[in-house]
Formats: sequence, structure tokens, C-alpha cells
Amino acid sequence: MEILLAIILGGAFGFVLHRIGATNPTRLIDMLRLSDLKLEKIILFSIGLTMIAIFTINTVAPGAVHFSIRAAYWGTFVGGLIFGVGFALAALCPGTGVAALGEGRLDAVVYVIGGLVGTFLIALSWGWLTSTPLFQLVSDLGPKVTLADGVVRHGHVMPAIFDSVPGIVVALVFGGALIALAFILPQKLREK
Amino acid sequence: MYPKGEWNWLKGGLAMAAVAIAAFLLVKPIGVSTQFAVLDTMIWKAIDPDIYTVEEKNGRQVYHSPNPYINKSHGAYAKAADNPVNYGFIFVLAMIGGAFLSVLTGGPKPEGKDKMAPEGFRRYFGDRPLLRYAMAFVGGVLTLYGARLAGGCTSGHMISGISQTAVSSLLFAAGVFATAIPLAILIYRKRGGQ
Repeated sequence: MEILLAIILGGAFGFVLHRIGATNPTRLIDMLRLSDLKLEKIILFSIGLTMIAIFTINTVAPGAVHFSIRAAYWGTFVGGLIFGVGFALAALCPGTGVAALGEGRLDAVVYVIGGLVGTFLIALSWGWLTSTPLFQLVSDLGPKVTLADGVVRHGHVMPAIFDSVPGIVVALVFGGALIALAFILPQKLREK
Repeated sequence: MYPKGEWNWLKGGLAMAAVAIAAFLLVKPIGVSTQFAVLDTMIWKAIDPDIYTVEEKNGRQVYHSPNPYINKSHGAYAKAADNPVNYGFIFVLAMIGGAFLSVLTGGPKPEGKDKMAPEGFRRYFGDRPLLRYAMAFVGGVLTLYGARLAGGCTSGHMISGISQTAVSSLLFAAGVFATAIPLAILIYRKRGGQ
């Protein structure tokens, strides 16, 4: 059953990435150099809507949402900085790079091979990395911190920064702002 | 402006949210970059059989690796590499099939030159597929190194992580755009004589 869901959900994700143009590096180049904000709008809108939906469902049917929060340590930010350099160079990211294989892009094949090499390099450097300050936690509240309250995983509630208000309120405000931004943003900020 | 078959942002945003929400309710949040570590472990195992070992303890398979990365989280990557028919790995393989299905059913289709070096690249660098491959390769190395250091990529951290209001994912996104946007503006620009 789970494998069937993997095929359906993975297939749907790849289908959507392709249909919105996200597997096309041209669209990602224009996204990053702000000469076409289509993908920005899609990301903001879909994250905002997903946020509001899962926190609403979590309020009316606790336990129905399978949350999974990743730990916040300084390496998360540094990893993001490194990722950003690679993102600008390749104009592909792991998800779009894999999906782009499905439309026969040869540069995506090279990207995925590079990705396997990058992963091999992290495996070789992991022992050293874990001894650096990169693995110090960002928040005193713990590793898996959220903004909105009520995120439960394996029976434990994740510590929330805004824990004095219900999680759904934070999700409505934050998610609503992201959706509003998707509508407000112009088609482009710069020329191609 | 966009090729035939490509959706507009609102339709695309609704579809993307539908997939993300379905994943949250049915199984677990969407993620991709972990599977690069799983595939790497499979390749590594084929070259060096000692990269991980399995032993049976109280009826359960216990995985060990001399490499601290493959050994982390109770050898989760080794376990997944040993059992390739698992949710996360099949999910990522199915993404390739999903994109292919989209091409077959009237989605946008890259032609000839665009499959090697896309129009957005040629606009600034001209017809230089080898340069495009070099940038795609180095970009692949850096994005996966960064994603695995951060514990997720654009899928796992941004779409799934920010939806859950995870602080780690907001931090990751801030890092990504802090370098990606200025660098893209710097790299992809019209050069003298063009």
C-alpha cells in the first residue's frame, strides 16, 4: 500500500513540477535573477495554502497530519548558503533535477551525477563536520523548533516560539501573508 | 511567452499544494535529497562491500557502517539501500515517471538544443553545452553538499518544512536566497559585445 502511494504521490509531484515549468532551468534562472517571478508566486502560494490546510486539519482532527520537523543547527543556514551557490550555477535543485530526467534533459543527468558526488563528499567529511560549531543548536528551546504550536510527532509536541497563541492563528497569519504576497508580487522585477 | 502546456502560477500553486497536503495526510512530508544518500550508499556498497554490515539482533536487522554519515540515525541510509523498494526511494523514482507522463499528455517539451543547454543559459552564454554541463555538475555537487549539511533541500525544507513553520527550514531558505539571487544576477547577465 505504501509503495502504491509512493508511486502515486511521487508521480504527481514530478508531473506538477514539470507542468509548472520548474524542471526547465530557464524558468529557474529567471526565478533567481528576478526576471520572472512565476515560480516565486507558486512557491509562496503553495506553501501558504499547505500551511493553512495542515494546521486547520490538525485542529479539527489531531493526529491526521504526519508532521516531520528537521533540526535547526547553524549548519542548516551554512548548508543553505552553499546550496544557493550551487542553485545559481546549475539552475536546478534536487527535486527539479530528478524530475527533469523524465523529459530527457542531458544537463539534468550531469546535475544528478554531480549531486551523487556532492553527497559522497558529505559522507567523507561528516565526521569532521560534526565536531565543528556548525552542529550547535540555533534555539535554546531545542532542535526541532517551530513558529506555530501544536506540531506533534510520535506523541511529543514540538517546542514553538509563539506558544501562547493557538497554532492555527500563527498559520493563518503567516500562511495568509505568503498567499497575499503571491498575488501582490509583479510578474518580474528585472528585465531578462 | 511560456511553452504550450505550461500552467499559470495560480493553477500550478493549487496543484503543488494539493500534492503536498496529500503527502502530509497519507504518508509523510515530501522530500528528495535524502534519496541521493540512499543511492550513493547502494553504489558504494557495490564497490566496497564493507561500507555497511547487517546483523540480526532479537529478530531485527541492525545496520552498522564505518562511515559516520551512513551510520547516523541507526544506519537508516544503509537500511534503505538494502531494501530499495521503500517509500522514499520509490517516491523519487516515480517523480521521473510523473514528469515523463506530463510530456506525453501535452505538457511542455524541450527540443534539441534546449535539452543540452536551456534557452535561459544560451541567452547569456551562447551555444556552449560543455560550459552548461560543467556548471550543472559543480552546481549538483554544491546543492547536494549543502542540502545534506542542512538536512533537506527545496522540497523537504521549503515546501514541507516552511509549511510546518519549522525554524530550521526558514533558516535554510534564508541561506539559499542570500547567495542564489545575487550570484544568479551576477552570472546571468549580458556581456560586452552581445
